[in-house]
Amino acid sequence: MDFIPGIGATAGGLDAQRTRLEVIAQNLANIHTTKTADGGPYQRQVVNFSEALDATGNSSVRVESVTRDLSPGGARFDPSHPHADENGRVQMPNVSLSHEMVDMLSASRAYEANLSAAKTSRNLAQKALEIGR
Amino acid sequence: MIEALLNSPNYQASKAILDVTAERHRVMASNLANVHTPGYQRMDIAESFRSNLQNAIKEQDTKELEGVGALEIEVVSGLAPESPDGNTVNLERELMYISQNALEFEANTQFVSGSLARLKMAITGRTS
Repeated sequence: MDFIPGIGATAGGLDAQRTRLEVIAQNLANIHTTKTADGGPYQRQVVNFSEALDATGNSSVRVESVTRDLSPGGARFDPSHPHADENGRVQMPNVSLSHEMVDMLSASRAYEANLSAAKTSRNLAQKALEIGR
Repeated sequence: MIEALLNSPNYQASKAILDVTAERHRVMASNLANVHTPGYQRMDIAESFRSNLQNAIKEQDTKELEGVGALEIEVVSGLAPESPDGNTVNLERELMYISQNALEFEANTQFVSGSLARLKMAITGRTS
């Protein structure tokens, strides 16, 4: 039994959504990266959530894995580019600006919602302590 | 005498509802945490709880009221359209339930506090 109801689950939610926001930021930062350590252009990272139990046995969420999106990005014709192939084409990352922005909004809204649930949890505990005052 | 007051059905029911609302908050915090988990099904307190509580209050049975706090939690579907990844949690709806539930909890803390204050008044003869 936890002292503040539901705080473990909410903490898991906040943690998972923050990780998602970090990965989105990383994708946006690399939106024009045409060469990585592996040689090819940057491939966007995707966060995968799965249900997990928190310390008190309530259902929470965790980041199961961060995987690469293997779909191909577009190619741009730019023979002067140092990463261009013999036909003068440069492979671009598969990061889409609008896609990432929508994901970012959704993650930040979910983060805010969890934050407000945390505030409510704290209020509940406080009200319980005030019984009999 | 005091035991009789503290065992009154209303007081017992209020205590049971405090337990239930705290548990319901836990469940909905879990729902909210899993708002983007693929395939997650929204959970809630079993619908049978409400009828159990009503029966216990109607029969003024304190034993039964104590048992009401033992809850079953089940998957509740059909409240929100399922998203393509199979998740049935709706963020706004869940937030609304959370604040509604918190108010219910607060109302019951006030009722319990009021009962204790009245008891104190009867013992001391003073209103404060």
